[in-house]
Amino acid sequence: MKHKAFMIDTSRCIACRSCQVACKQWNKLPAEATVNSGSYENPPKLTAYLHNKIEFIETEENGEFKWLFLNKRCMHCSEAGCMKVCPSVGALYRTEDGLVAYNKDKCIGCNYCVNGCPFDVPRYDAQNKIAKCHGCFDRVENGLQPACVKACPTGTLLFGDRDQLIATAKTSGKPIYGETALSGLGAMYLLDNKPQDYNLAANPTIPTSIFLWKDVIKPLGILGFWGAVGVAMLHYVTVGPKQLEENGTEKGGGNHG
Amino acid sequence: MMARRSQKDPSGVGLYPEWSWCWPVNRRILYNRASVNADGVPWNKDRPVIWWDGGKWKGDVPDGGWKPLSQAGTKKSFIMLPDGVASIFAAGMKEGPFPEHYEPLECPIEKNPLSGTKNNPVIKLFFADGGLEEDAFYSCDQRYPYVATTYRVTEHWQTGVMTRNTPWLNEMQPNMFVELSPELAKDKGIKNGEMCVVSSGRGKVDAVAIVTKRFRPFKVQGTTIHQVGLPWCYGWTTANSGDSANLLTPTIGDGNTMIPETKAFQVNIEKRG
Repeated sequence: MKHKAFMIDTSRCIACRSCQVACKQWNKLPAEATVNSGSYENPPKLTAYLHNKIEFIETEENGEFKWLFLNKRCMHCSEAGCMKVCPSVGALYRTEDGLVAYNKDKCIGCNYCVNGCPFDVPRYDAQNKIAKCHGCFDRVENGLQPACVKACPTGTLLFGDRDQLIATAKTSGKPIYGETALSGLGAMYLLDNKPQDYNLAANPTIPTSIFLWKDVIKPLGILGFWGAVGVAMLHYVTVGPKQLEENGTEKGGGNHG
Repeated sequence: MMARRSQKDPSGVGLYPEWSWCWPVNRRILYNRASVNADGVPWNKDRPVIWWDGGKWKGDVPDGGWKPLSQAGTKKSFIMLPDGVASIFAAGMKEGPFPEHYEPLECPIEKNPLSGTKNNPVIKLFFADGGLEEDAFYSCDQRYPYVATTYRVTEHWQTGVMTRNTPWLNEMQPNMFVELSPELAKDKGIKNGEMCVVSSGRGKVDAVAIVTKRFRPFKVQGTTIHQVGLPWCYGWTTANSGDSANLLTPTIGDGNTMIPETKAFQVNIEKRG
């Protein structure tokens, strides 16, 4: 399967936030009431109605002021913590292009994906259904670019064949964030500074508890369940069904339950 | 107009005559006959904009249809100027032709360090003509010790009457703010995100403090001078957005075009009580 992905060249970003607005427009997301709390950055965090946003980070380099802009969004991980923990089949799913999309009708509002995400991305809307960037899969499947990429005037946001994007990005000589993390992110960054300067984990991982739940306990649980069923069947076949005494008690009973 | 849109570029120099429309006759380059010699041959043969092909002009729509200069009954290329030729400086202007530094009318220093004339002698002073109270100015006044400037933000257009009533844009830039350096913020006991009052000789506005290293104190003639900055895109027609910075700015017109001096004036800033 050829995965598609975002490549985000942060050095080109001018923080015009066309991506924020274009996403809201295409996905018909309402505006939220905000206040300025001492920064140009607003809303302060991703919300159920804000699927991508620019983070404004003020740093200094050799005594010179430096403003870093980061397009924050769902990273469309190949090894997606949200999908691992989601108990409702089909609520979170991978599109043909490798994006992590969702079906609100199947979401049961359990919030597991919030804990399963290493990037603090999934949100729940007023109806308690998951909401996040889905890579505009509806546009992508019809040969269009995601709305944010279409609106980006500087070429910061690129979308296309993942391998090709990586090959092109490598010619810049900058390290690529997310090329291999979590089996390869579907949203990668070309960063000017260290990932930590952008509040990005240097080595993002899915929480161990999630790994234990999904890869150890849940399979064991499933194994246990079907094992129990199997043993019961075996017992039925070899020993036969329970037989009731005429007075209604079980034959040889007293050791069940 | 959209139906005819194409990316054809017959000239090869990027005129794209069928992409959008250049008012008034789809002429792409003003005074384009100046790009050819007296016989109508382009000065730069590699990048011709327009050229005379026997009986008529080819390429861009000619700016005035007159024949090349070597022929009778023609007119010079700069058709909108009285003498028809290019000018290094414009006649009839009150200022120019050479740039000169003057201090703003409201400024923190007594003298122009670069010349004996402090202010531009041709500025339009409303107060001098018996103007209103709002036309007053106070230079080197301790009540207004900080330099202020005003600017736009990406999210709002001009005074913002359209954009700040567009919910998606207002979500990104919701309120009036004032930017100041960490040094000045420390002096005044102002913390990032706190409400401040910015006042000038003409009015005052409430604004959220954005304390940022993007603002740095100036060293001017041995003294430290602080600057603050405010956007001028908010106003009363949007609830809770705050006041317009134009309540603070001076009403001074430049000599030629009356453009006001809103980029440099004096204010005070205090934490709102």
